[in-house]
Amino acid sequence: MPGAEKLLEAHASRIDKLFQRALASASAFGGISRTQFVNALQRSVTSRFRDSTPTRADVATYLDSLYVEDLALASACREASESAWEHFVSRFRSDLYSAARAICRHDEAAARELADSLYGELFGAGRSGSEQGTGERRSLFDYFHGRSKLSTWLRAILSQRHVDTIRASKRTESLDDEQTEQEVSAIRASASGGSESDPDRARYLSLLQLALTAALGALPPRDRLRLAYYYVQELTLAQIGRLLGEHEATASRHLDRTRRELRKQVERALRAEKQLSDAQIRLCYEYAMEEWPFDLTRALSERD
Amino acid sequence: MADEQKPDKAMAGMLKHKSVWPLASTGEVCPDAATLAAYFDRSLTAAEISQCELHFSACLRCQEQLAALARSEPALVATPAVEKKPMISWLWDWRWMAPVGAAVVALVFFVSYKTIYVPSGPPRGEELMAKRKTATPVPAAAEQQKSAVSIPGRSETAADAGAETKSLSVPRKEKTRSELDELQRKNVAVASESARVAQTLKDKGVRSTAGASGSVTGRAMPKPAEEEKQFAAAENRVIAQPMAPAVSGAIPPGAQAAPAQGAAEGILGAQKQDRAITVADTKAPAATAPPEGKAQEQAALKKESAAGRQDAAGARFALEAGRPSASKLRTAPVELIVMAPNSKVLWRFGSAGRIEHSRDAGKTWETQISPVQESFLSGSAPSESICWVGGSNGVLLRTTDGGENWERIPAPTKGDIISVKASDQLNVTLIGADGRTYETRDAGAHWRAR
Repeated sequence: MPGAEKLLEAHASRIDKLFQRALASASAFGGISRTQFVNALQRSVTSRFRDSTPTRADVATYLDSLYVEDLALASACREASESAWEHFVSRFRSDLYSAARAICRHDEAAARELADSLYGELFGAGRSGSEQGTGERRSLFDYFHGRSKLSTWLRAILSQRHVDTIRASKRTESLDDEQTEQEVSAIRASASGGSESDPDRARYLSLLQLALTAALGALPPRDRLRLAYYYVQELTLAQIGRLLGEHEATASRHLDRTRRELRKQVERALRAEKQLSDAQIRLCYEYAMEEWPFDLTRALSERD
Repeated sequence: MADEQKPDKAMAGMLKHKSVWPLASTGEVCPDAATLAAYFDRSLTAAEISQCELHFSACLRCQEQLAALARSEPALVATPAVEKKPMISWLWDWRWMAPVGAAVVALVFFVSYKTIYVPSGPPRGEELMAKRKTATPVPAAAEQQKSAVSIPGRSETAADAGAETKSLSVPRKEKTRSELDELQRKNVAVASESARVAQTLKDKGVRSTAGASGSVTGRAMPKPAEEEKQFAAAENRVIAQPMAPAVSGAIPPGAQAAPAQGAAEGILGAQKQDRAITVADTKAPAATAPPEGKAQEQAALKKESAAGRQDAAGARFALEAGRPSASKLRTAPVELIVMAPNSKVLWRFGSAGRIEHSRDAGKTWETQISPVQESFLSGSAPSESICWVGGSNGVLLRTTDGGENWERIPAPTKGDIISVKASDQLNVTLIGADGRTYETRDAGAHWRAR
């Protein structure tokens, strides 16, 4: 990839306009120099086009999509500007804690710890870099390139850290890939101890699960993602719509369609490949309901 | 349980278990926080989004991170919880309220139409003429000088107001016939005042634009053709008719037509009319003494009606917020136009979320991408690149790049937003249809009600 400076050479007037926008908002925290701003843009462009050779139009589109106001603030905080830090605190600190509370499902202690650690890292790294004054300063703000809002980036970091902490602490539970086989075995084993006298119960459950897994794998990624958000992550339709960039009514419609399609695929697989009759397929469903009880009414009323 | 529901319940139960889900191969690297954030803000390219979603659909870790990100979204977190149903919840069941409500509305319209709009007594126009004669006098001329009808004159007012632009609209609520009639009467009073001022200006050698009929808001209502004709004719007569001898010394020569105090800084335009903003010219028609007697009056009015109709074909100006013109209520749905301080940059908001932008004072328009399909009710453009607009159902949009990108801002209310006043991209004050005022200083991250 050509150097960032070279890439930005042809966009001087565009950079001027972006700088004016950034300067307008930067007046709230003492301003930002053009050099600082251009350096931030260079870092951003380098990160974006690290593995490719963009055209001039690509760079122009990318520059226009940047949240330059937030980039200016992050850049000023990175340079340990006192007024920028004050502005950052007044604007983002309370949001950071609110987001942490939401992420930690209102566990106050966990939320405070999560937010404090990020806030401390942002604040401490930025300031210690300027105090040391040796070598290149490394700040968490180096990783913010203006492709998103600063608030979203902060929440993404919180989310990532929270999930990784949970996963690390639950390493022995069923989050890892190796657990999948164990769960399947457990299902099969428990089936043999079920109250039903049908010796094929375990087989039916296994067939149904495998057919469902195959049908899920064959879904378009977006449909699969939507289902996963709804059933596994238990998000609301509004949240799903927000993630996928669609209205919640659209998300609901697509979910219904996907569920119907999934069921059709599963039953087709059970009939055609496994030679099960309609009665046997009904049995599969009944055994599945016993094995994995799902209170649909409760789930819908809590979520939607 | 119905047989049909069993398979769905069974599938739902299975889908909740991670074991049924195909997983990503361990070689794939999860996107970093910056990419997740850009994905969430829809800043990635279409190709990047597809690539990410392919990974996300099979990666539990990424799904969990995105779910946490969605939960922490202020707009979604701040959404009020499911409203508590009232004690007698069955009373608020839409399944019976909707048809009953529709029947009641239809009955009200039918009764109103029969009792109010059945013609009786003198023709509508003469009735309006009679009412106009008893209309209240024009406010002090000095106050009229404060405001300008034409756009160039507005800049000083805008500068005084802190370069803040206000748009005009009223909530798009359906009005009953009786409300329309009341508005008509008010409009007649305003029109008569404006006509008197217009006459005064003519006497002084200044010609005003056609906005003198009063502010324009509200929604068009259907009207029988016969009454429409009579009313239109009466309106033209009302617009053109001089009210009283010219107000001496009221308007300086060359001043723009100034209908009333607090002239709006925004404009509402008819859908089908030419939106070019006309500037009052200084052509001096021959001054005429106000005609006396009905016959002379009508003769003078006939003369003026031609000019009045011509003027009426131009842009109509909103002169005072919230004072609708009955004629406007009979035309197509009104659009919302918001003007930036430089008077050249305009945004026009139409139905179903339509947004248009002009850089040349309305001569040409370009459509901009709107993220919503709601109707807009009020807007404010503190600069050429920043514009806020509020609409029905709590819709609140903001642009900071001249409209190239419009983002939805979480609003403090789910009801209609009937007034928006912004001083920059962070500070804005809203008034909801419930009458409450809300302020933010951080672009909607936090709201304070007052």
